[in-house]
This record gives sequence, C-alpha cells and structure tokens, in this order.
Amino acid sequence: MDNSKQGTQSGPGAQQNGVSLGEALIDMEGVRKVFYTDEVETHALAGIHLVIKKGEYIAIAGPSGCGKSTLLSIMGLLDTPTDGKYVLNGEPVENLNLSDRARIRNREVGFIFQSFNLIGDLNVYENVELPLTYRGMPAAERKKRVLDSLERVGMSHRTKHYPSQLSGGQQQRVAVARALGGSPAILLADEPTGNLDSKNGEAVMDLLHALHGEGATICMVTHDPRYARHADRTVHLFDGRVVEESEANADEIV
Amino acid sequence: MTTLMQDLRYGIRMLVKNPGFTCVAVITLALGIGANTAIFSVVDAVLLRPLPYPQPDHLVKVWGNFSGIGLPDNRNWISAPEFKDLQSLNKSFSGIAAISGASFNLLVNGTPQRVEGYAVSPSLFAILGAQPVLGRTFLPEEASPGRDHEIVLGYGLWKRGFGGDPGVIGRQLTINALSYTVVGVMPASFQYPDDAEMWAPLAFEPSDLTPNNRGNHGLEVLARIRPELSITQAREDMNAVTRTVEEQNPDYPYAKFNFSFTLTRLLEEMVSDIQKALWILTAAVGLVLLIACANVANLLLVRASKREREIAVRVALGASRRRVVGQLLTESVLLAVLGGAAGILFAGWGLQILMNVSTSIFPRVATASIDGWVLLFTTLISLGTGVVFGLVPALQSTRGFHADSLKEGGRGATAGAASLRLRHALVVAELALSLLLLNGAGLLLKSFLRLQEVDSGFRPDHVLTMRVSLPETKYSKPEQTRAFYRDVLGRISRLPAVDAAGAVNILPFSGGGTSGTTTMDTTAVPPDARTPEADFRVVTPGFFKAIGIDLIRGRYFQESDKEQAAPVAIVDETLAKTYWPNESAIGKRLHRGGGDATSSRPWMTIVGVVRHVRYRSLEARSRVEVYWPEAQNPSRTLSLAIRTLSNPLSLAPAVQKVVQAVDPEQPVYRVRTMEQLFVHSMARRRLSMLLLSIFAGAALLLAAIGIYGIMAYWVSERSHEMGIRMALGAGRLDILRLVIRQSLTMTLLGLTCGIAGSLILGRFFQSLLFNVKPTDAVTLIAVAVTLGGVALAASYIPARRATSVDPMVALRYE
Repeated sequence: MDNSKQGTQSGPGAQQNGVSLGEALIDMEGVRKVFYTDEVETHALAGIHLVIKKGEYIAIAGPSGCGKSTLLSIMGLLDTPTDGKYVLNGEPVENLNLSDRARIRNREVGFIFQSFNLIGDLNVYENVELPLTYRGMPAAERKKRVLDSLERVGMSHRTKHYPSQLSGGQQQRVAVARALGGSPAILLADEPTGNLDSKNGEAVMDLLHALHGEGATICMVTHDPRYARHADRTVHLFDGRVVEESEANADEIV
Repeated sequence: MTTLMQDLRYGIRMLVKNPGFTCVAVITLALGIGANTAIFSVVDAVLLRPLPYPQPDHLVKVWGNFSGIGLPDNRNWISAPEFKDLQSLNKSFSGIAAISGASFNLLVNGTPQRVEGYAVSPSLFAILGAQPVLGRTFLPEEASPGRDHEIVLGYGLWKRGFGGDPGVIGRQLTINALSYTVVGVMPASFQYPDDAEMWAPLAFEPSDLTPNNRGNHGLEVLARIRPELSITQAREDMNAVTRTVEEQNPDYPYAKFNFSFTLTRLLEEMVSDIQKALWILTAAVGLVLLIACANVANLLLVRASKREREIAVRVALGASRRRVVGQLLTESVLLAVLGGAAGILFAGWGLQILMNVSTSIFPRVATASIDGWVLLFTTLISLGTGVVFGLVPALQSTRGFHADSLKEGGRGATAGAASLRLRHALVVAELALSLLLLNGAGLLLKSFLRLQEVDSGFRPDHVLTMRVSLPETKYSKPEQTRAFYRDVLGRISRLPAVDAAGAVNILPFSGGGTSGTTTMDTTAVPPDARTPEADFRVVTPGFFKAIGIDLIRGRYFQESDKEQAAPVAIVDETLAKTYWPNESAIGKRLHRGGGDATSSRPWMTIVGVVRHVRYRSLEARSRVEVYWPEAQNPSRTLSLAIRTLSNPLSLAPAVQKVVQAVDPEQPVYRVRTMEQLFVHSMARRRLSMLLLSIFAGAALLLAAIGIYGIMAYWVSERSHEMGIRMALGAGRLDILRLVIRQSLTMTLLGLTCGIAGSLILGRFFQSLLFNVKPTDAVTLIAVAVTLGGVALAASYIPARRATSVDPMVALRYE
C-alpha cells in the first residue's frame, strides 16, 4: 500500500465550482488508532495520510467497520489518535487536552449526524444556539447568528418548535443550521442522509452543495456512491487505510 | 451568570418533564433533609445556643465531690456552712449564690395553689445579669432571718395569677400562711431554675450554719468566675479552698471521702448527660441522608444513561467536561434545593412532634425553632447534598467520549459497565450504612429491654402519688405535722378501692435524694469502713406496703414507733449484708453522722430489713438505704403513696378532697402514678431508642428501594441475555438463581462492610447501652439476617420478572 501523502492536486488558488481552494485545513500524517479491549487490539486506523484544503468538499467512503467514523471522530477532535500527526487549521491538535479540544471543536468544527442528534428538550432556536452559548458569545450576536443560520436552511419559521414536532428532513436542516451557526472551518457530516428518505436526502445534499458553493469546507462520510458523487473528491477506506482516492468529474457535479 | 440561568432553565425543564423521577427524588431528599433539619433544630437549641445570660462561659455550678464514696456520681450539693466557706474563701468568683427549693403554698382568692418557687441568694439575679421588668430584685440585707418576706414573681405567674397587673408591686400575698410583699417581676426570658415561678430571699438561721449541718448538702450553688480568670484558674482556686476547709474541719470526713469542690460550666451541666445521645442521633440522621443521597445518585445514574446521547451531543458541539458537569450539578443542586424546601415542611412537623415528646427530657428544647440559623443549615446541607449525590453521576456521565453514543441505538458499552459498577457500589454502601443504623437501634432496644428486666425492688403498678408541703408557719410543731399526716393517711386508707397508704420524703425516680454519713455498730468491717454515706428515707408505717417493698426480715414500722418510743430504723438488704454479713441485722444499731461505737449521738435499733430499691434510676446502683419512721423524724414535705385496687388516677380527686377536708388551705401537687414516674425515668432512653429505630427503619426502606432499583435495572439491561439463556435451555429457576446470585453478592458485601463498621464504631454507643456490649453478637447477627432478608426480598420481584422474559420477544428487540 502506498502510504505517501494523498490529497488534492489542486494548488492554492485553484478553482473548483467557482470556489477558491486555499491552504490545507486538515493535514494528517500517519494517523493510527488502536482500541484495546481486554487483551484484543483493534487497529481502527492504520496510518492515515490525508490533506483537506479549505473550501474542499470531500467524501469518505468505505464498507462498515473500515474506520470512517473513527476518522471523523479524530478529525472532529472527539477522539485522539494513538499515533501520528494532525494539524487543524495550522495548529497541531493531536496532543491537546480535553478542554482545549472542546474549545477548538466548538470554534472550528460543525457536526452533522446521521441521527440528527438534536436535543429533544430544547426547541429549534435553543438547539442552534447551544454551541454558541458554549463559546460565551453575547446574547445579541447569538440571536443574529441563530436566525441567520435558520434562514439559510429555510427553518426560520420553526424556531419555537421542538424536534419531535419536525419531520426528519426538517430536523436535519436544523442540525445543519446548528453546525453552521458558529461559522466553523469545516463541516463534518456523518451519513447525513442515512435516516432520511430519498427526497429529504436529496434536499439535504442540495443544501450541503449550496453551502459548499458559498465556500464551506465539508467532509462527509457516506457509503452511498450517489451522494459521494456530490463531493470534489472521494477517499475510500478499507481496514483503516486509504485504499483509493477519486476526484469527481466536474461535469457530474450538479 | 447567563450560563447559570440557562442551566437553571434547562434543569427546571428537565425536572418538570420527568415528574415521576422528580417526585421520588424530592420526597427522598425531603425526608433526609427534613429529619436532619429537625434534629439540628433540637441540637442547636439544646447544645449549641449559648445560655441567655451575659458571658455564659463564666457561669459555673459548684459541687462537693466525694470521690472516695465510689459511686458513679459522687457529686453532692453544698451545705450552708460550706456555702459560707466558699463565699469567704474564694478568690475567683465575682458572685456566688445559693439556691434552695422552697415550699410555696399561695392562697389566691381563698384557693390554695402550689407554686414552684426557690429561696435564693440576692446575688443570683446579678450573677445571671437579669433585670426585673417591674420593681426590683432582693437587697443583700433581705437575706437574713426576719427580713426575708419579700417575693419576686416570675413572668408567667404574674400574667396567670395577677393578670399582668403593674400594680402588683407592693401587694401583700399570703404564702405558707405568712404575709409576703411583692417587690419585683422578672421578664419571661428569665427562668432559673427552669421551673421557677417565684423567688424568695434565702436566709440562713444560725442553726443552719452549725457544724452539725455541714453534712446537710441541700443547696445548689451557682457562681460567676471573674472576667479576667479562666475556669482552670478558678478550679485551682477551688483546690485551695478545699484544703482550707479540710484543715478547718478535721471532724468532718472530708479527707476520708477524698472531698473536693469542683466546678462545671452551667451549659455543660445542663446538657452533659444528653449531649452524647443527641450527637449520636445527629450522626444517625446524617447517615440516613447519606443513604438517601446514594438512592438519588442511583436514580441520576439511570437517568444519565438515558441522557448519554444528549451529553455526547453537547460534547460534540464543543462543551467542555467542566461545562457539562456544571450543568448536571446545577440540575442536581436544583433537585436538592427543592428537596430542602420540602424538607423544611417535614422538619416543621417533625420538630413539633419531637418537642412534644422531649420537653421533659431535653433542657431548652422548648426554645427550638426553625429560625434563620437552622434555615442556613438546611440551605447548606441541601446544596452539599446536591453536590454529593450529583457529582459522581455527573463525572461518570462525562467520563470519556463514545462516538457510538451519537449513532442511532448506539450506547457506550464501557460507560454502561462503569456506571453499573458505581451503582452497585452505592447499593453496597447503602446496605453497610443501614446495617450500622439497624445495629445501633438493635443495641438500644436490647438495652431498653434489659433495663425493663431490672428489679427495681418495689412494685410500681396501681400506685397513686402526690406531694404535700406543709407550711412551717402553720405546722411549726412536729406533733402538728404528725397529726396531719396520720389523719390524712387514715382517711385515705378508709376510701374504697384503697389497698394501702403511706408517705415518704422522696419517692423513687422522682429525682434528688437525701443522704449522709451513717455510723454502723459493727465489727464485721474495718473501723474506717463503718461510716458509709447512706441514702435516708423518712417513711410512715404504711409506705412499704403501699409501694410494694417486701420485708425480708424483722418488721415494718408500726404506729407504736412513736416519738417517745425507742429510736428505730429499717435498712435495706445491701446494708444488712455488708455490715452484718454473717448474722441478722435485726437488733443491731446505727446512728446518723460520723463517729464510732462510743459516739454520744442517739443510736437507732434496726427492726427490719427490706429489699434494696433503685431509688435514683434503674440503671445505677443506689447507696445503702436507711429508713427512719416519720413519727420520730417529722417532715413537713412528704409524698403520699396510695396502692389502689383500680385505676390509680381515678382516685386522685377523692384523695385531694381528703387533704382539703383535713386542711382546706393545703394544696397537693405533682399528682402522678408511680408507673408514670417509672416510665418517665426511662423516657430519655426510650426516646433515643425510638428515634434511632425510626431512622434505622427509614434506612432499611431506602436500602430496600435501592437494591430493588439496581436489580430491576440490571434485569432490564439483560433481558436480551436472559432471552438467549432461555433459548439455550435455561429454566426459570436458573434465571432466578442468576439474579438472586447477583443480588446476594452485593448484599453480602454490604453486610460485611456494615458488620466491620459496627464493630469499629460500636464503642461510641457504649455510654448509651445498659448491660449490652457494643459488639453484641446476637444483635449483629439478627440485624444482618433481617437486612439480608429484606435485600433478597427486594430483589425477588425483579428476579421474578426476569423469569417471565419471553425469549422470542427479547431476541427480536436486539
């Protein structure tokens, strides 16, 4: 297996979909993750080299258990690598403590989950506001950002609703708004259409595509080739390694 | 602040959304916090609050300690000559006062009333820093014979008896058939001694101060230490006074009984014999709160496992662990504050009940209330409780991050196992703490039962008692006193339903006593052992039969034992066996005071030997007892004892009529049955036992709920596993055994820890026990079996549920 650094060949300032690709936002080198349970070692990631540039839309694909979610957790600073280097937005983050990781995660990363993970006891507005309160943002600015985010995903008319009062597609749009609210450096989406029917799934993909068009950097885990085609580049994982990387044909991207 | 408000808002929302959880947790905490608040209110009022006098630490009681007597409590009050010695010789008191119980029969509108009053040194009021609300207190010169006909009224008596009339000053009152002038009224806050309603000046007659009266220890002495001196320095001064008094009175057996004047702080004196019991009750109720905390912590852990995804989302969105822990703690403190608020309501009721049952047991308990200080205590324990039961689940919930939690149906398996281990540990702790409390309650119960088995030496059933105090002015001659009691007792004996009637100067279990050196005409013991300190009882002939003291040898007193007849005495079996071990004591002689066989004091011949009676309490061995016939030792104040054939109290009006018929101006007071006195003597022990039993019962219930909860959760978590086992051929009994084994492991671990704790901490119970060791194996085994049984019963219900799992359903839901 070729473990040389894999990444887009597009240089700084290159144009894709009208978006200027900048310097590396995520730079992983030899990232490994080993889980220890009793006397069994499980190598979830076995030396990942990956670069994601600012403004890029990347899909991570692979079969179940190949390490996609582990890679996403490490990217989102929810977990730490056992070994290897990880630079996020120019800052080495592989050895940060819990509170620094929480702080950077709050500012740099926006998560979109398969099961939405909205908090059932908070209404739409409060769900979107939550990461901003963790940042200690003043109330007036929080309000502006929340309403802007909801406006962007078309959910500003549902601010007082609770998640249980929304459809799956609406919930995922609120989750996207929540991820956008903090203006993160990157959106990490873990199977964002996995719990949606095809119509709502397409709508969410359109939303992500639109956000990418506006300059957002997106990294999406998916096992569905139809959705992977929305990305600029697809990284294929197998047994914790990058086994293939394919760039999307610009013509295929709608 | 914004963060706190957000957390509070969310916390309230969570509590409202889960009313079942909220109610159970709040009620559990309210019971724990309420019980603690109620007990703390009592502890605060009785033990912690300073006495309501200026510089209360400088107030001391002075005792004469005869440590050579060798009884559990060798302290005596002070005699009049000793009081004069203390007054003149001390260098450490800014004031010293003597207090003597006095007989006040007050005639109000022609109706005789008995009033609790005291004759006191004029300095008493200054020592206690008390000012009258009306008039004045006593002048120094009023403490002399003939000048002592002034009265200071207590506030309650002034209000009750005189309608709070400000013109009462200068009014003449007829007390003990003499005229007294009211000179002052004390404020409601002044109550010393605590039952006093009236004070007169204490004047010593010359006869009170003779050497013969040195052994008459009838004065309570209160002193205030000079502000510049410590109690240690005052004690050193008392040692010097002791040496001088000994040197100046070689004829009195001070040296023989290793006498010394001793000091105890007034507050310490008031609470010394109950403070340990109160602190143990405080610790017990604190343990109940800890068990309640463990239960709520268990509930929170269950809830946290259900909120695992929510917490994971918050972490994913950038909440630091500190932030999430802060939020969870805000919720638990909110819960505790609600519990505390409800606890104050419970405490209000609990305190009322406590005050009702303990007014005569704990001094100052009537002043207990849920005041600002108690509310501060409740607030602090509520907040502390919230942190105690909330912190561990909060830390547990935020330990590590499990990406699985964010997935549909995902669950952090490791966190679940750790949480379950923690919950098991909490239940083990609950069981251990419960065993501690149950064992304590068991030991007190056994002590109580042992105490009831003690032979008091008399039969308290069917005995009516009441006290009569004849005024000296009207009954100045002994024959008048003798005639009164003979007439009254004769008439009472003729009442229907009366079996026997007699009188005694001090009843068993009524507190106090008279004692003195007694010389035995014996050669069976060495000369220096022939003059013991004996308890004296003055009795009429019918007393022994009325109270049920059996005669062992000789005879009871008879009407023929008159003043002019040969002096006689009856002794108890202990005295007889000690001083005439190999012969009958009948016909032997003894006399009051020290000396030897050649003494000139009048000898009394022993005519009877009776059973030893535990006069002071069932718990303590009494001194040897000598009974004098009332006819030869007239006493104006006696307690009537009437053995009845029916309910004793139903006879009280008839007996009172008899007394009024003999002397219409003579009141009776302290109308009680002997059984009431008997029960009252054990009231403090009974209350401690009762309260500890209630706390132990609550602990048992909480522990049962705790083990039920953990086993129910354990079963629900393993329904799939049960399904697989049953699919593989496990029978219901196998499943039942599996669950019970799990419960048994926790139970045995909890019991082991509890037994170890009981063995280590049992010694703190020692002073509350009677004829029971703190490590009593029978109690410990009984308690362990009970607790184990309850724990297994509590886990049987979930175990039964486990056996009814349908393998098909359980496997389908995986």
